[in-house]
Amino acid sequence: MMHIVVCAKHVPDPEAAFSMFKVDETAKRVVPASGLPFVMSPFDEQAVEAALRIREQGMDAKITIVTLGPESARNAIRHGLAMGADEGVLLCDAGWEEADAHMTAHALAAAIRKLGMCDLVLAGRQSADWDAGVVGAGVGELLGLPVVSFAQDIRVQGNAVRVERVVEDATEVVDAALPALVTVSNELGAARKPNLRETMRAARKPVKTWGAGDLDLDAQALSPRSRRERLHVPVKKVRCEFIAGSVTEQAMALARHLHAENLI
Amino acid sequence: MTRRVSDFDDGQAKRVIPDSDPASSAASGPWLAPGRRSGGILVIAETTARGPVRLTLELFGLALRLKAEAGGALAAATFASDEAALNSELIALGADAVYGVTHPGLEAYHSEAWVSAATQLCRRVSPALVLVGHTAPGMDLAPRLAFRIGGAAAMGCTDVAWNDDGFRFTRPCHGGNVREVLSFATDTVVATLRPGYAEPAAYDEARRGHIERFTPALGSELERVTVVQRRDEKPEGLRLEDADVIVAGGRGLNGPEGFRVLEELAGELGGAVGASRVPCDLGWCPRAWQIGLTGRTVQPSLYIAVGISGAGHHMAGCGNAKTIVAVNTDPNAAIYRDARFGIVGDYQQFVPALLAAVRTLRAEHPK
Repeated sequence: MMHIVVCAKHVPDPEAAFSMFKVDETAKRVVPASGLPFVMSPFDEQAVEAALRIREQGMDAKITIVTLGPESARNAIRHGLAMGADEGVLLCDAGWEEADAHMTAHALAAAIRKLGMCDLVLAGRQSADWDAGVVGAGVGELLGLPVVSFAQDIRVQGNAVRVERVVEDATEVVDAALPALVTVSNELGAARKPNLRETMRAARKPVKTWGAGDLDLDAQALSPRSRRERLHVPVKKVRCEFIAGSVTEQAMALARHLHAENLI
Repeated sequence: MTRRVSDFDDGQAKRVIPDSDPASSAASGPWLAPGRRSGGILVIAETTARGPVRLTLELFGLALRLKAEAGGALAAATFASDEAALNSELIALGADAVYGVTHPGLEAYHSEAWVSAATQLCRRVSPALVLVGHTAPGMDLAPRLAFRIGGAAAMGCTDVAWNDDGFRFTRPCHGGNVREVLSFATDTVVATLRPGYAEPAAYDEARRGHIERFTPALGSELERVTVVQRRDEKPEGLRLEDADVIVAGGRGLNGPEGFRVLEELAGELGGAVGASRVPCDLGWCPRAWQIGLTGRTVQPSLYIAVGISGAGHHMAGCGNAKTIVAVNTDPNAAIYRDARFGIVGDYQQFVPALLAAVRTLRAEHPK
């Protein structure tokens, strides 16, 4: 049976209006309003979707969700299990509270090794909170896997994975030998919503919890390499001038403004 | 100035050395002068038949500014399958050394091959900072290269500064709503730079530097991943990145037909049509039109956003436009916070009216 591991992150709902967030410049943290729901990061959710589609194409596959985060991140795993994944691993340790991309990639890679490796690792192209797009590639590098980024379609054919990937002004189709790591882009399409039956079943699916001590990680893998020097909301420099009047008047006034500023 | 071509030590590669600079005959060793603070900058250049692309000029503009502050040498690398990699234009842009990374496997971007080749080059030149464009290949290359050389990656930067003890990287995060400034404790940082944020470097033919071919060892890398097909989806008209005027549509267009109206306006203004993520995901328009955090980054003089709410992830791709005009039915839409001019109303009436107004105005003021 094929084993697919999906790396997924639990993030404050990125679809919420940004007014629901406060930036604490002193602590250099983004603080979500109390009660704001946390969700599985949408690109990661699409990675789970990609794994489920591979299984539905007739591939006998076990799908494991691996998440690094606090105890509450277990909900991201539950969501993945309710979508149809089979097992979960929560990587939870006080030492990972401020984990950067380096530490996170090392932890995920070590967890995948502890699972006895797998045939395919999937991850979202970037997390919806820090938007960096580093951890997925890092896991691939640390495991010595080929990395294929920005997938909009993933099919497993024998011992290889065929990926349609999104690049500027082109779509590329590549074949990578398994095991491989593929990052998923939003072009893959919407992830399915968990149905009641799967949600009920999910409660009985196994979820392991591992701390840093359970994984083969050396001191450098447990030390951050990046430091956040500053965090702030950019100041908007413009003030919007609303143009009133009938549609024709609005259109002519705007055209005159733009013409006066040599923009048209 | 005359240049002599001498055999490089592997017997295959050649290097071109300016006669006036005998010190560079030690080029097989590290190119960095010892004791420099920053340890040098390596720009991964992208060139076409017409020369370096604009984003590469911007990488050089940033690199020259950082070099002036931090010291160290400025090297550039081009990747190609042949002699085209040996690009002397990059010296005129400010490179002290140009490495033409040449291998038959480097004809087009191939992640495994480029990451391996870039790793080999970084081991050779030991840069403190590698600057890469924030393009699809750059976003693919940078994090892999960072992990492979034991460095760190700073993705999608809008600025890099030198701060005595190291580089500081400014980048948008949280859907473009927040900026963070990062520093790293690694010998090397690989950073991708968003287009439109750095002043492009100017050519100066008086600049001198040396050009060297660098032949990476590539073997199994090329077999691990094979490119089966590449379907070009180049827009028929103007590239969004090059457009001075962009008319972009969002969810508020309520369907694909809305884009026809925008196309007409863009055509009249000599611009291009873009979109936010929702219409691309819904198939209302080609996904190549997507502007934003996971789409394109554009910097036109005029950006007309129609039916776009102005979510941070969209503004991350167009917030650098000189003038933003927002057309929306919702007077409280976030887009008005970024807009210079706001129209509250139905685009189906307003956009044709604007088109007519532009035509009237142009008839009054023929060029």
